[in-house]
Amino acid sequence: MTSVMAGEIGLPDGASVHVLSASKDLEPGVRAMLLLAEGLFRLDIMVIGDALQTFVRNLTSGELALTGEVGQPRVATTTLGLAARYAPGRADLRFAVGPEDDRVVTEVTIATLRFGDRGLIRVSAQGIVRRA
Amino acid sequence: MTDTVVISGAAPVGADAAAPTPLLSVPDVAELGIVDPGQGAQLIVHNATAAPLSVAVDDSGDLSLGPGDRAAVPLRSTDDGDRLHVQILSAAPLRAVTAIVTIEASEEGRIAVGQAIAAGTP
Repeated sequence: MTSVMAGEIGLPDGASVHVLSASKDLEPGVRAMLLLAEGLFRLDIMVIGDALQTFVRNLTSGELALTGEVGQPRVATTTLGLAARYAPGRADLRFAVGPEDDRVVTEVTIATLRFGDRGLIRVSAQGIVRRA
Repeated sequence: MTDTVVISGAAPVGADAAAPTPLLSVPDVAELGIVDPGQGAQLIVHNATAAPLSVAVDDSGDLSLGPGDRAAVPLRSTDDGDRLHVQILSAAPLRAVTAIVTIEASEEGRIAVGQAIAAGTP
């Protein structure tokens, strides 16, 4: 199992975006933590059949605002070589947490691969975290 | 970040260090190949941009990759097999790429299975 990696990209205006990523191989029906941003949120995931369920736990004092797919017009998925046998899939999630004067927006892309011979689904995620 | 793409790739692991097997092509960021020259599988990261890339490797630290440069990153041996988790980051243009690569057994022999999530500004 892979731990959550946390990176940061500095922007020319002095601000920055934080990049969280993780990957886990899960059995169907098992819920597991995928991403954790200390003091902000925790993202759990569970795969049942063809359905991908996400659970966002708000760790702030502000409200959680959740939306569905992000960047839909620009979204693309590419499959190369022998990868089609692993039935690659994807899902997108966007949410905001934090108090009114300090909102943080997170855009998460989740990618999946199915390893039928082992009965496992690989779930990988990248989250882009920035001030609203 | 307004532009997001998921790329999935799988390919046999070659042995020629001079010609790694193409595995994942991340538009405008990097080309990722796989090779096992005999000491274990390595991911070859080729910077396809005109700016430096920061490559962070899970549990192994960071490295900087100049424009056009390439680096070999060994896969880590785990209880679940050989595995690699990297973040490739660029500030200008703004790009963030997460790539996960494992080695799987198959009828064709050892194959590398990779998936990359790339987000950035167009």
